[in-house]
Amino acid sequence: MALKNEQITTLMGFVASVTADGLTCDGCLEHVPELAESQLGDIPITQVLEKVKTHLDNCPCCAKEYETFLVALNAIGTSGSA
Amino acid sequence: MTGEVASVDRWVIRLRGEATRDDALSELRVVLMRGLSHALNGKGGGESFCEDVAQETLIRILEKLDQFAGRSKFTTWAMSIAIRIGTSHLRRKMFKDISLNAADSGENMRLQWAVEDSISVEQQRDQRAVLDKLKSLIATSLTDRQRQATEAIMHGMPVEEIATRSDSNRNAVYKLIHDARVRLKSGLESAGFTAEEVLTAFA
Repeated sequence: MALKNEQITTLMGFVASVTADGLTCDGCLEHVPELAESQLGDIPITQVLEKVKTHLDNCPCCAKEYETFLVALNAIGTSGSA
Repeated sequence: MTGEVASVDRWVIRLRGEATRDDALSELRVVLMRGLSHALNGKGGGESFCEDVAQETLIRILEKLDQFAGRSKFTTWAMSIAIRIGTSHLRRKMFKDISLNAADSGENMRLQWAVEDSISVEQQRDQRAVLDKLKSLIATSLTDRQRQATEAIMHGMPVEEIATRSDSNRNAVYKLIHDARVRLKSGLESAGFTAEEVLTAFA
C-alpha cells in the first residue's frame, strides 16, 4: 500500500520534528504519573520530567496514551482519593 | 507532602493486609472504573470492556505493589497502569485483521504524491525536490526493518502492535523508528533542506 498525500505530509512532519530522545516507552511510562500531576497541578517540572516530555513529543503512541490518561485523571479528580 | 505519603502508605498497607485487601480492591476498582469509563468509552471501550480492564489492572497492581515508589499519588499510578492496559487492548482489537504486510508496499516504501493545483508553482517545485530526496534516502539509508516499521506507523499501526507482529518489543521498535527518522532528517539536512523548509513545503 503506497503512502498517499495525507500520510506523506505526516511522514514529513514525523521526520522534520524528530529530536534526540534518551528514553524508551517503558522509561516514559514509569514517570508519566509524576508528569501528569505536575502539569495538572501547575507545578514546575524537573529535569527527569523534561526528558519524559521530550519522549512524548517524539512518540505518537505514548503521546496518545498520555492524553487518554489525563482524561481519566480529570474524571477521578487529581486531588481526590490519593 | 506528609499527608500524601501517609495516604500512599494507607493504600499499600491496606492492599497488603489480608483483612483489608478486599475492601481496598473494591474501592480502587470504583476509582479505576470512573477514570476508564470517561477515557475509553468514546474510543471503542464500553462498560464491560472497562470492567475487564479494571480487573486486569487490579491483578497487575497486586503483582507490582513493591514497584510503587511513591513519586505520585497511588491512584494516579494505578490509573497509569489501567490506561496502558486499556489502550493496549483497544489497539489490538482495532488492528487484529490487518497484517503488517498489508501496511507495507514492498521492497521500497512507495510515496504516491498527487500534486495539488491549489498551491503555487514554487511550492509544488519545493515539494517535488524534498520528495525526490526523501525517496532516495528511504531507499539508501534505511534498513528493511526500519522502512517496514516506519511505513506501518504511517498507516496508523501503533508501535506496540508492530512489536507484537515482528516478535520484538515496544522499546526496540520505537528505537528502530526513531533512528530511521534521525537518518532521514540528517540526510535531508545534508542535502540542504532544513526541518523548517520541509514543514513549510508540506504545510
